[in-house]
Amino acid sequence: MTLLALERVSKSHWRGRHEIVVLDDVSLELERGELVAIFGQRAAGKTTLLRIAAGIEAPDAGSVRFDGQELVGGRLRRLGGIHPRIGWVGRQAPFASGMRMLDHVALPLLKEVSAQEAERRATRALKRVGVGELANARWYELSDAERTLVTIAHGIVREPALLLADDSTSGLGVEERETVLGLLRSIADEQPTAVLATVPEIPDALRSHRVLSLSDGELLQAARRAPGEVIAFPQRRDGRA
Amino acid sequence: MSVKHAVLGLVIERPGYGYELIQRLEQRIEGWRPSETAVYPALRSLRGEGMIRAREASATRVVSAHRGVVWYEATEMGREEFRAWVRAPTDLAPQRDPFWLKVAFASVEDLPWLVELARELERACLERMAELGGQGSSVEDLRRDDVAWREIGQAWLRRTEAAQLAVRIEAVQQIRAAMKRAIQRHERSLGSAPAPSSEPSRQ
Repeated sequence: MTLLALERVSKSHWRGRHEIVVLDDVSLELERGELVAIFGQRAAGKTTLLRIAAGIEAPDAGSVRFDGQELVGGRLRRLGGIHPRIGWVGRQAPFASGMRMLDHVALPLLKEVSAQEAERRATRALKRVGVGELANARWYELSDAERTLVTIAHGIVREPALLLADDSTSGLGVEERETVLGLLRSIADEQPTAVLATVPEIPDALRSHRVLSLSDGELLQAARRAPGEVIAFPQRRDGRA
Repeated sequence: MSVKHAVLGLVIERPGYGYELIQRLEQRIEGWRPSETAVYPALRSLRGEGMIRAREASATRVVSAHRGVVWYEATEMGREEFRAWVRAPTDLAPQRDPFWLKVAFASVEDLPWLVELARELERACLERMAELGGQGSSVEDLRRDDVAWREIGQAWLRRTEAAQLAVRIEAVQQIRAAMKRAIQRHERSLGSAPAPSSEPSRQ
């Protein structure tokens, strides 16, 4: 069943009077248990696409549906939060640099459960991504790869149905990239969670179920041959930008 | 690539017959997809050159289902020839993708078609990427001490294909953007002068 559906989404950024088309009539559907990688070069609009999928940013046109409900423009956006069942793996440091990683990861839970329960779940999330030993470490003590893993733990601690990962492999070595993508793949397989991950390099996409590419506002994907075809791509006839 | 060398390599690994070799070839070098029509002539030619020979039926105790099929095994000469080929220098493979030839010789009027071709090419690369994905060993697995060279070499066949696809996708994306810009420029230049058969373009 479709969990996330972007339908004919368009988005432009404006630099003065100059319009930069970031997303041009982009459609995408995602199911639980799927890891979908979106490849795009720097400034291709990957992060914008993820922010729109998260409901953090509104598209100029088109709709975003999460679990059958319109995501953008609803109650959530007015509250300024991210949907509780959507996890975000970004690249930001914790807001307080001296925090223990356990507290950092537990933070998203504190509004929902007791501190004790939050700590228990945060411990589990850290173990799940393979860095249980970093519970008492501080951000500045971590390597880039460890930071990425902790950030993923932060993203999955609420056991989201949809996990959005924004260039999580960027800046990592080849083996570390594989570890991260392998982890995202196992999260997709096991929970099962729908995982949408942007990747700065194509080979990073190899662990995913589907590879899409974003460039010049266009999202391209391979024809899907598995049973249960869900994507109808609007056919373009010409080379108009 | 040379189907002949691939077939010879397979027969050296272990004897086989035509259909079985085609299947084994697909498993071993899945990216290449040699057709039956390439494998059988390769076998004939290798046999003619004395690189492989048909196995004697009496010596093989072939089960009845395989009666009538010709099993091939490598000759000593075939092994030597193959070893020499493995160790011989390899030329840089030439650029053979007709898309780039089209791009180089296209006129501006052709570009809208080529933009669509570029999309198709990129989709095809993504599709192949998805086929390659999910299979194969990770770099970490390959570093283990108990991994046989054959598995490592096989994995790299796939990894290099993925790397080449990645480069192609990036190049196709860039040329697509460049072609779109050229089309826009062309349309603007048409817009400034009266163009009989095209719509009045207004940006």
